[in-house]
Amino acid sequence: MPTIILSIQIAIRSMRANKLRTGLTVLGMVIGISAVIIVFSAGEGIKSLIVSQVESFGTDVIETKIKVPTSKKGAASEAQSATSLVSGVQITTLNLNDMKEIDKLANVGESYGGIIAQEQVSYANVMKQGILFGVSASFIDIDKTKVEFGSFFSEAEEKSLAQVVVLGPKVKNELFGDSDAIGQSIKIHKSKYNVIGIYEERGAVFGTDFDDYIYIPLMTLQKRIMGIDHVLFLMHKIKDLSRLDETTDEIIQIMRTNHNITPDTKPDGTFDVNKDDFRVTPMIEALEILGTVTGAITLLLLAIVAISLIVGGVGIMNIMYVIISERTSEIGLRKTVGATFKDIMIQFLTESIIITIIGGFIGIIIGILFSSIIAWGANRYGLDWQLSIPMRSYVVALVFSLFFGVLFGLYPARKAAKLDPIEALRNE
Amino acid sequence: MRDRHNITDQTGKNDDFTTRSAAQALDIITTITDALKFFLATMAALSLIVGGVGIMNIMLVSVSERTREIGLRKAVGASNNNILIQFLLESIAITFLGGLMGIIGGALISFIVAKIAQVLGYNWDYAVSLFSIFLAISVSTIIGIIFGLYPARKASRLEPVEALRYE
Repeated sequence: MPTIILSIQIAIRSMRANKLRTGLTVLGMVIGISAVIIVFSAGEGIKSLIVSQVESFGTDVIETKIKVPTSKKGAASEAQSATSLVSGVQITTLNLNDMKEIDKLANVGESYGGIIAQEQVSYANVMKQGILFGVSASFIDIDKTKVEFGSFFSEAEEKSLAQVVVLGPKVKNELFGDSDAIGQSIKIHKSKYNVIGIYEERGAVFGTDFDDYIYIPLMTLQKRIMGIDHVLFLMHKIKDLSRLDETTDEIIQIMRTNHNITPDTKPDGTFDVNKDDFRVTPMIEALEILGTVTGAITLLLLAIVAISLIVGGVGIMNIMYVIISERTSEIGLRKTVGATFKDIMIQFLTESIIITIIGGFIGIIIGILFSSIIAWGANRYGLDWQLSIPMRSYVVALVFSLFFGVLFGLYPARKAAKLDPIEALRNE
Repeated sequence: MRDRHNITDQTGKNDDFTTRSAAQALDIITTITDALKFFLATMAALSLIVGGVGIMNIMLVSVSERTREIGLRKAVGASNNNILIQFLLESIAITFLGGLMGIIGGALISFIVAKIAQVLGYNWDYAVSLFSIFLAISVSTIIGIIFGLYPARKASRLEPVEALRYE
């Protein structure tokens, strides 16, 4: 024990003797460790953002969405479908008839269809490019979000193509400011629409801001404004989650029958989805995929951060060599008065470990600080970003700093301990 | 694409909506990839900064080790600028060399990654752009200048008499 206390004393004295050098060496470690904390916390933040968003749709929900049929096989076709949609290929095959058929399934409770459009909307002399979110009246039962003031539209209102809207809070503020909006009417596409409700705040993810939506009965939007009868997606609420896979398959069957699609059979006996003009995804599956993706990204970032820790570690090793060559005669003296190989080894290892541990602690503090700033900024930006720094990030940070202290301190310490006392004393 | 719905409404209004939402979708994808690129670049830049701090540290050590030499050079007529340039060149030489070796190492690893990807059946082209080589060399030189400047200035400002008396 006394050896270690003595080693710590010597290390602290040596670190104090050259404050600038110690500071710079610690700084290298601080940068790496704070990056570890920030990466972990950002990963958690993004995950919470996505998860809360997906959960607000409900986890007991299956989505049927349009997709561009492709000829190629495998993963490439997924990307191809997305690119085709982006470049303006239209799929107009999904409609409310599909929904009616799917609703007949025993395990499907309710469904709603949805489509999005952009139109100029105005109230008094305030004009705005509004995003119209046309959904069935059943949306409010399936979705986990609520109307804050007033009410959502009813099935009767939808069937009669009623000209009513429910405003997202941002739209309400832009058009009406602080004054009351319910009972007033706004102009969309030259006709008047009655405001019957204001939606609660929901936040945005990846540029989709639900607070900026104008909720409008699906059929009103289809018939009165767009003049179409297709939808972009259908959402089905499932009664029994344990039969999720079965129900997903049943929905796919119905869709293929409805759309006259005969899928190719793959060698392993399953059907190829390339010809489908739709994709059926259970929300839970989407949640799992998103979790895997964010996890993979966090891991990739951590690997890159580890590089800066290694660079910092090499810096520590470099400085340890300098320290040892500066103190060669001191080492020789200690050895002649009885210090063993182990004593010298411990002395220099202690010094490099103290440097990395101090760096680790300062790094953790700075990492927390930066993570808080990021969370604050994201919240200011309107994202529902939870600041959470997982316990394992502290553990990883401290283990990393200890590990690098030992790893990069070991070789210089060994060199010091191996010095021949007579040679060392003669030095300079 | 063989079904009965295909003929539905292709009016201008409909088209209009699709293009807009398409642009929106593209925007989102670009935002995500941009954010990812930015984040990766920031993290990579961190290790350059850490490396730079290490260089600064070692340059400070080498200045203090060579205090007598600096004093001697000044005594026989070297100006502050001579000393400054001497130490700055030293740190630039270190980072430039590191940059060159980094380019070779990076190209090698990208080559291995590409080869592995090709073996796994991906259509992965191996390409190291001239721009990235140019960027790497300029960044390493700039790091050398930034982190070498302080130690070099410290060396150049040493008082020759004091420096000669050192140790």
